[in-house]
Amino acid sequence: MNPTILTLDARLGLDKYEIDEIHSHITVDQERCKTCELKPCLTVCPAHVYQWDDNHVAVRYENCLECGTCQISCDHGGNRGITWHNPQGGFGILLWLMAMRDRLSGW
Amino acid sequence: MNVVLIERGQAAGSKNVSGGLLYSKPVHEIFPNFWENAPVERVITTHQIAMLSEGSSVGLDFRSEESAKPAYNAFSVLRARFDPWLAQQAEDAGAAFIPGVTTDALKVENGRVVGIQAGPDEISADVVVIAEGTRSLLLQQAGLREEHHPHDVSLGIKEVITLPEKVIEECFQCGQETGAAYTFVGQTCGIEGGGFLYTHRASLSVGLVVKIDSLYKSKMQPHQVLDVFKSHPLIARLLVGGEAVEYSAQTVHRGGYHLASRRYGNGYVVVGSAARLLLNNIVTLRGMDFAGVSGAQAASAILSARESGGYMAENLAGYAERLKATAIYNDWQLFKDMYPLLENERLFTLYPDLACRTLETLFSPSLQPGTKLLYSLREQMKGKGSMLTLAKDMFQIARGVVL
Repeated sequence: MNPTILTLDARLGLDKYEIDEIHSHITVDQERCKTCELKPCLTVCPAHVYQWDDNHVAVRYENCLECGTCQISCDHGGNRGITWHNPQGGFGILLWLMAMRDRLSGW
Repeated sequence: MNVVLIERGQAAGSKNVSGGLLYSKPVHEIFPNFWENAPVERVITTHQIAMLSEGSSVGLDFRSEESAKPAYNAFSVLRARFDPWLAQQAEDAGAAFIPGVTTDALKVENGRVVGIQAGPDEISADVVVIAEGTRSLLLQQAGLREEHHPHDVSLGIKEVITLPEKVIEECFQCGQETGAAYTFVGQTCGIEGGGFLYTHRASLSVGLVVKIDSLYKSKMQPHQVLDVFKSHPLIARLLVGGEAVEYSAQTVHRGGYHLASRRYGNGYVVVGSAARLLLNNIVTLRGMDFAGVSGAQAASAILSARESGGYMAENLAGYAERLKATAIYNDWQLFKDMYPLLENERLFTLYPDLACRTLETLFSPSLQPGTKLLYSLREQMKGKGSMLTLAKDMFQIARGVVL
């Protein structure tokens, strides 16, 4: 077993986030998602932000890595249900190395 | 000239993701001898390209003492360390650096970009340099670029894995300052794309770049594809004893000569990945050096525009001319025949398998009567394609890379 292979949750746990508790930077049009055949967002997201839950798309935006793959997939392979904005200034993902930078002076 | 540099992360580099390989010479032209001050990780002197099949691999190992001499060929960098240095260079040159501010929209009046909107604040500017990365939401919102197609964009995912310096130096057979860059084809669950592994001082960057349409058609989740890739014995062995410390993702436009989009207009210029200035020829994936060069050319074009008395498209047209005179354009033209290759699905599973199995036959005496290479190739290709297809593809590969 390769010890560097982690579960997705453990991977996401490596990163630091400044979560905007009030505003989600991702909105979905559930009506569009219901009629979407392929639902590419459920598979392409590297953080598994989108999950099909009881006839609607649940969005765990707080885990978002901010890559934008969902929007590009949705616009062409999906049903244009996703609207993605950049999180407000200073919010969202803060990559680990950045967060721990001060502890890494020996690197 | 007053310059404001706006960054949406809390600090420079807190949002930026790249594979981690910085080609040195173009950057050296902008920041002479930057390696003396910039926080680079290792000088890349070893390049490996390997085709992976389940349980086996075949590779090419290139080592060069030449690339260990200034101005070097490439460095590995960690953006969290490199970007703050880069922002400092801008500040030292007089720019005001403002982190923690997200630009929500470009302000457009009468067909001209006149500034930006950031939350309740507006900043007016004579000219806006748009460096928002591959996603380029601002350009799209303002109707200044066509929509991305998942066929042209890949998802890059990667992990940073820490390892003691000594282990890296032993494992990759490199010195205290030098390191290796590996590129892989195969073991991506049939998805079009490839893998990479770069050595930093005391860590590795390991990841995949996979085409988005191919990814969603596969129904695989990207982290699962990464797991399959990392489980291949060649990769797994290189990661032994390591600890994953960062997981990140980024979209990568495949860039290229034939996809050139408009890179300037009234009151704005576009640089870096937002301008689709990337080169992917399987062997190298270049983005950061192109970004730097385009930024420098944009700056020169803006200064010329100021002298010409305005910042409208006709004043800024020199930017496109300047880009055309750089090695970027030359390299794009050089490798334009690579692009059909990146869409050839046989390259990503069949041929790595074929290469590995053929060598397996060659190296392993069997109890059965042996066959010559061409015969065993034909056996391997049965049901997967004709020898003519194979010959055509080999010619295409040769044309893309060599001829």
